Amino acid sequence: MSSRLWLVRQGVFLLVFGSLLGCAPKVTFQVQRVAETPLPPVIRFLTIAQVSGSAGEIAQPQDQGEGGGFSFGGKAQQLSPEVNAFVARPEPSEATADLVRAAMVDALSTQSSLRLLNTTPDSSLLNGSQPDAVEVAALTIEVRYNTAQFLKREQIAYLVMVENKGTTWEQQLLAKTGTMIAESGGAGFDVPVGYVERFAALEATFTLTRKSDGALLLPPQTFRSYYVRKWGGSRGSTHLAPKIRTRIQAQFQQDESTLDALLAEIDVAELAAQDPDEYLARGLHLRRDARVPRLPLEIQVRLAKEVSRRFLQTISDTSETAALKLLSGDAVAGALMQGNAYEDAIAWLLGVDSRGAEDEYLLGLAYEATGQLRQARIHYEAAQRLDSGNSVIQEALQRMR
Amino acid sequence: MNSRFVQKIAWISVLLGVVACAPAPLLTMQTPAEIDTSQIQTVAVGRFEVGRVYVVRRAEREGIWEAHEIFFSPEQQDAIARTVRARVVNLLTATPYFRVVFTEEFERLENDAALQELISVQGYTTADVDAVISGKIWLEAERIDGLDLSKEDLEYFNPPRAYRSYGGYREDPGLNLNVQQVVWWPYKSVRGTLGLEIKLTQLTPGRVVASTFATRSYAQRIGGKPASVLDQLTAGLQAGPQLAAGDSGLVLPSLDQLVAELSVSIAARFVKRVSLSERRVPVPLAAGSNATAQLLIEVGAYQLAIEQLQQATANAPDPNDLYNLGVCFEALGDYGLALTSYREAWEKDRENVLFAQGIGRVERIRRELPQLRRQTRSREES
Repeated sequence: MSSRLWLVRQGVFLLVFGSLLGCAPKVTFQVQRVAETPLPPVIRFLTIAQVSGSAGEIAQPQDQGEGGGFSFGGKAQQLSPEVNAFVARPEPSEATADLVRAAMVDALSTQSSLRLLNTTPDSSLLNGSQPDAVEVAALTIEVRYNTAQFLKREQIAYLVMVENKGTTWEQQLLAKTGTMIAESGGAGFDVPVGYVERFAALEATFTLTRKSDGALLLPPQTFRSYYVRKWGGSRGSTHLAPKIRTRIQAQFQQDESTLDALLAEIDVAELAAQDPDEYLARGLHLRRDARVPRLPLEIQVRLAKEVSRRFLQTISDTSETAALKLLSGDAVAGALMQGNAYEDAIAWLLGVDSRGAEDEYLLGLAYEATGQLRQARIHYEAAQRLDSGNSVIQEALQRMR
Repeated sequence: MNSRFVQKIAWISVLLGVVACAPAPLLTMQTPAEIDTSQIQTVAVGRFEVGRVYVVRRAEREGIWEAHEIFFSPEQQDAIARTVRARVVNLLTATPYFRVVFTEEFERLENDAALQELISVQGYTTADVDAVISGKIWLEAERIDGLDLSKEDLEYFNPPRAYRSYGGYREDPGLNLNVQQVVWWPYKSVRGTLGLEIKLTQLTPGRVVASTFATRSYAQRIGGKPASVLDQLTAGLQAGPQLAAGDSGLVLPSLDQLVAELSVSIAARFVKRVSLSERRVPVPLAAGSNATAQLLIEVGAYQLAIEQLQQATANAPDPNDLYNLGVCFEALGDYGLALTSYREAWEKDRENVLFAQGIGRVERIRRELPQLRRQTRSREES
């Protein structure tokens, strides 16, 4: 059997096996995330005051110890023309500012308790009884956006061989490895290959002032997001400085790894069978071949949504879906939690005489899932006192801060 | 191995995984709107502005790229916006929740700012319209006709044989070789992205009730070099419903088809957000002692199943039967009795996750019920 066929069969087997094992439903729940810098309680309304784009350099992503741009076979190669900085121009920044505005309004409409008075600057809905200006926050958004795309060609070395199939598999493996190393070192004959590389950087500064007197409600908040990807050509070469590319991929594109994409697709296939309406509404029925280059608009929107989400988390309590991480505490409470029966789990655990760290954690989780954050925090803290080194408990407490 | 075969296997295996878990009849459940729109009953449809439309065709041969941008006049861009708007209206009118009206007054407005300006005129009222829907679209599409390059093994096999030669027979040992060769594989691809902002603006008092900004992308490629095994598995999982529907995936959609597909999906999300909706939820059954009752539930004969199960559980109640009785009550919307049955089952086996799931489902329904009742009542009173 050829090694390729063997791999295919192994893959199919693992998939079938995995999906059959996956009968137990994946338990998720809504996690409440507390605002990092909440607005004064008197602020109940929000108006979009100004949205603009500007020119200037966008700071590069911070080094978080990802290492420097290496790829298989040696150091990553920087292609010409080299790009070593993100410099925003006014027009793309202006166009992107409108997308950031739309993404921000969507996030506020869905997740925030603030009532929107308008969705575009220089207009307001003054019909009917209107709120006192003291209760209104005015939002200013300033955006810098830099994007580049390269549709070019590069020479890739191919070393072709004639392989005697009568040799042992060890010899064949040695020959293949030798070929790969020789190719990465530039041996073989060069063939021109087309590629598409697209990257972008977005910096958005959000300023919130009180409408009545123009006073700052919190210091201006600046968020940045980046994207880089190449389709076709050599994986190791890039127009962007390799170190910057490595940082961007490690910090902003964790969702794009091949394995994560496959696992996500299994979840999607399950959703297609279990909830076809939701599957359609989320657009998961649409073909999404990862070999087709992403469009500049997709990248722009991705970055716009990221900075909007981070700003919203700063000013407003938000909720997001998270996997339920259960600890091996009381078995009955564990079963109730897995069944999303949070109120019954609370009633049951409150009746348990001596609760351990795991039980306190479960109780906190049940309170959190029902939106009772103060109670949740009390029980997470009790769990931490009983087991201070438990990372799951620490993670839960982190959410409450 | 044929790549379409791997794709089908991947999809079928997941489907088997889902189906093989337990028999799960589909129950219809009402879900409240994510945003309370109970005050809004009659909705007018305003204009959908165009943010940007950009369509390009590219061709690549030996790494040399050519681009051909397709120009859209303002009228053509408007026509695309109207197509998107029609899809949103179609879905909205399909729900009995809103009454959708068309008035020239709102359709004539140039953009969202003009709409907001009109509404903001002090004392502005319009007959029988509670809110206006407006939107803005951004569209990009790219078609590529290109070449992939890969190194392929070509098998050269010449079997050993004996042949006659001078002085007798000779042996030819034969050959069994892999000869590698660089192969160019032509491919065509299309990718389209639609960004759509949809807003529901209440007229009096003037406020933005809901605003969504969503993007949908479609990416398809035909031809090209053989995909890796992992890519084949991923593609198989993605293409499952299309394969099941007999779509070969060998034809790229036109721009019109692309826009229609993308806008329907975004509109569905918006409608779910602002309108009460129904969903079909699979509810697993327990392997109870009463097989007839299970069969009745699977075909939707809940009343008959209740009679069977009430008799079966009257004297010696089996927790699995009690749970299945709860499923019947849940299916009929009697959540109080459903919860009682689930709790009775759970009391007999407190570590059973299935029974806890029953309790959890009713808990969720009860949490959503006040909102659901308010939204339903607002429609019944009108």
